[in-house]
Amino acid sequence: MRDDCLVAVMQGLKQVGFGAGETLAAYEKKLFSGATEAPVNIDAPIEVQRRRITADWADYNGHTNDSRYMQLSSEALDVFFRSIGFSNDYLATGRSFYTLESHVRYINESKVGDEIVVTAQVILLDEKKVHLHSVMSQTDGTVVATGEHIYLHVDTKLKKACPIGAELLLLLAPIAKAHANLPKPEGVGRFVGQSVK
Amino acid sequence: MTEALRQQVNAWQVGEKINAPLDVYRCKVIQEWVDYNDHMTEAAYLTVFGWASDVLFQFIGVDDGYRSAGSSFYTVETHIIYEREAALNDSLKVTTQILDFDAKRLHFNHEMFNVATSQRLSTCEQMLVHVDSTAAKASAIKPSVSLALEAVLASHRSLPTPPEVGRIMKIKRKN
Repeated sequence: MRDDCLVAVMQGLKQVGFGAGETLAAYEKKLFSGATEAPVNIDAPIEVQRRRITADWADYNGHTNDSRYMQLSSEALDVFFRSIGFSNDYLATGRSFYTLESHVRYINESKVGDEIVVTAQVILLDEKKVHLHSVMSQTDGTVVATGEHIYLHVDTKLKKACPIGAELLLLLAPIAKAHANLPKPEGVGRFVGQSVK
Repeated sequence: MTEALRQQVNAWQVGEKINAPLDVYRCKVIQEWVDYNDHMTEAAYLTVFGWASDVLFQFIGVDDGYRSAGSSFYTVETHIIYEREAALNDSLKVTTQILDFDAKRLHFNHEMFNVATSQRLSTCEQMLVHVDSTAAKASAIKPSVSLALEAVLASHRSLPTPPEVGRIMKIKRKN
């Protein structure tokens, strides 16, 4: 509980860039620079992140705020991008991914202290775009939320779409190929309000 | 910090004219919303839309009193389309269109604009369910709120349904 409070205070300070929060923001930026290890088992959705829900993410009932699932999904997929070589060095070449669309479905509640496992699955890859799906679950497998995002690869100087770099495709293309054999996740390709069953 | 982003509005009163779409929420892009390029991050788009939803809730009478009496709306789905970037200090406005509601559900669409250029930056379609927060179960929207929603919907029915609404996310293939 005390640790939860400390983390909440520090994350709060990070938002306003003050004191310990400033240090934390700099540290997190540094964390981003390091490309993570390439995924090992690509024949299934890839576990990209495990994260404990902290007090600053919850409402007065101790339930995770719905906007945090969007953050959880997009930050976990950032980890996925890092794992395929999307690093600060790559960004420095003037290329990046911009998000075009995000669709989050909220399935079950989670609470402060819960550990959430996020998996990533490639739905489709083409020359300039990648369509990813995330599943956010409790450690017992209960799904709390799903995310679906489309990213466009851009030349950041020209502000125009451009083909995804070969150095990323080296890892991304085999994953997309392997994931093409997986069943399509239940939430994919739904419009808002469409019933699942 | 966050309270500064909140915009207070009065709850709708019977007989009061309702704008189509609702056009209330205004803010400026603040430092904590931007990345190292000074562009607003994805998560911040949802934060802005969240404050616009807060205005809608106040307008239809879902306020702290309503919530502390044990009723609330929970979001079931959120679909955001990012069309243009926003930069630090840009002035933003959000308009809100009620698309539909029934006994327990509420479906609406927000649109975010850059005030200076009038360009649309993003849209956010959401489905919410009304819940009894003590029982953690779906429950009927209270009559006072339904009445307000009926009035908003009556005003918004004349608006065209935005083409993004009900869109399925997919990569369009050229061949």
